[in-house]
Amino acid sequence: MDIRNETKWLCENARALEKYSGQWVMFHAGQDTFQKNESLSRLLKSAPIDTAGKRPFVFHVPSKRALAETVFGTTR
Amino acid sequence: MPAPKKKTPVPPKLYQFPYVRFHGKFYPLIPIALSRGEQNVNTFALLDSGASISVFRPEIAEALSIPRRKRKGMRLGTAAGGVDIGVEKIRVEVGTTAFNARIGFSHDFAASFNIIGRETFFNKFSICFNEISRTVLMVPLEDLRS
Repeated sequence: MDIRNETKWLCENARALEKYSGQWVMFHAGQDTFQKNESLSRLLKSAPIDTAGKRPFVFHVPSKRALAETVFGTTR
Repeated sequence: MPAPKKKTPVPPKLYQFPYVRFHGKFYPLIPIALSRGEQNVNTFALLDSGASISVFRPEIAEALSIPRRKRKGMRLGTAAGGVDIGVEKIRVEVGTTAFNARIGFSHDFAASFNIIGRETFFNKFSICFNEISRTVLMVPLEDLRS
């Protein structure tokens, strides 16, 4: 799995994705488009596999409020 | 007799991930591929050295077809209180490094990000967070040993 492109794509597009807070987005890093949906299962049903056989990445866009309320770090 | 050829040491793999900025704050999110049987999902997760175990969002459990009844129960303490989670063994890939990891899922608790905690992840990599350059470096430990 070549992961550099996916990370680069997310970094470059994170700002633009903020308006889809609370939704799932799906993207192929090699393409400049993405799909969005509130349901991950619906998004995955339409998931195209690109010509290199790669599956797209999915990501849940956090809302500003949720991030502000979350303290990371979990213990058993 | 020719001198034996010296083996050229192979440098260890090194993954470098820039932090991702959301709503003005930076987060160490890394790309990760999850698979269970025929199901697989590529997504991102927050590397959290303060977390004992990994907890992913419930939608990911559904995408991997993990039935609720199969999940082994566990009680998880969070800043907001305790929640019940189920833990499953999932095949994961970070770059070209693949291994089995224990990941918790909960229907009562969905953090903003999928969270990668220490158990079964942090013993696979040497991990360095750099808050100045806002990058995280990961070197697979199996590469360092060889």
